[in-house]
Amino acid sequence: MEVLGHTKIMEDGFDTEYYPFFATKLGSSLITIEDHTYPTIFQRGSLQANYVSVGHEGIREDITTQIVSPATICNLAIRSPLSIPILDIIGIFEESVWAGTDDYSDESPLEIKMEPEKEEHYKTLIYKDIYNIYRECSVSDWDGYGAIAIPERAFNEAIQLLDLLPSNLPLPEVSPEPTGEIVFEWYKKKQHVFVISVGGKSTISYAGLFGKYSKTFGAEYFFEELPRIVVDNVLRLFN
Amino acid sequence: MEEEVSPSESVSRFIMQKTYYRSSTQTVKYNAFMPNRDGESSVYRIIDLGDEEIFEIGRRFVADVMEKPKPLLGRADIVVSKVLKRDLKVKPYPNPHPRHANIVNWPEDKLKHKIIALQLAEEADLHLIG
Repeated sequence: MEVLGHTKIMEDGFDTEYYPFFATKLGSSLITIEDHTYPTIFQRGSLQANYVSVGHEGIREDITTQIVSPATICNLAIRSPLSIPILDIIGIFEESVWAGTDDYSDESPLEIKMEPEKEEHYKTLIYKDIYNIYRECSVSDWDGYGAIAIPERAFNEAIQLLDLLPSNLPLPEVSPEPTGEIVFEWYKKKQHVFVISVGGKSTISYAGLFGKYSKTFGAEYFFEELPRIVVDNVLRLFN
Repeated sequence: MEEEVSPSESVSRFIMQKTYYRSSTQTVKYNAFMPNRDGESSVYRIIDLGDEEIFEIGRRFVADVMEKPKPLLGRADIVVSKVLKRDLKVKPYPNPHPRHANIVNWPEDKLKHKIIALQLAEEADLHLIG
């Protein structure tokens, strides 16, 4: 988790309190915010956001589209914490244009906290792990044995995979594979483990041990939907 | 060193990645045993060596020679017979060290690598430094 900075928001002449929220600057990508009612969406290249102002009673007042910086995104989250409860959209940015129009560009930097208070924030912790793995393992030979660098498309696919995991599944542990893939692992106890991995090739490969004599392995096409076999095997492991 | 690796010997896979083991259960993850792009998992024969001698080999011949050197965190030890049981072989390759060897004969079908590495990891013992 990279700390982007810190800020104090002044609104109507009063200091508003600090709100915990979650965002991560990810090199050319940014994990940012999802407002279930008014999604804040960032697109590669266009870098436009549907900028939503929310009035005192939570009523949507206007919508404008403009180029924004990470500071603006974070401030949006702070200013409208109730309408932006979950921060889990992945916005893809080109850093070079971050210097563009920014309503809040003259304010102090923002502090990004990683202290989820609500259950629905549970995946946020794994975002951080995925990013750290990507950052550490995006160069060749990161393990000392000639490992393949993890490509950005593998990172993006891992984030997509995490988003698609049903909330009733236990959280996986994330790790790198020397093949350049990112691994999600569910470990119950000795001889009871299930792993899946993605490498940005629209494929999930998986393997699992379910006791001394039962095992499974294979691969599934992965695009927008989580293969059923992943959920089935995780449930098999824990049930 | 004997030319042939005995099934009763143990070999060590040195670990420089925290993500290659579970600290909570002190167990090895499968990633630690996955072969490289040449189909080899590099290991060191540790017969007749003490802990510190083994780690010294790991430091000098693995961790310190990485392009971006990382500290050696530990090692995963496995008895060779458990490797052979998976239809793999342990082939001596005395470079850069007389005790160096490679786990080879990984299946052509790469989908099988994960499950085999999982089985190896389950049978390995983790030894962390400190």
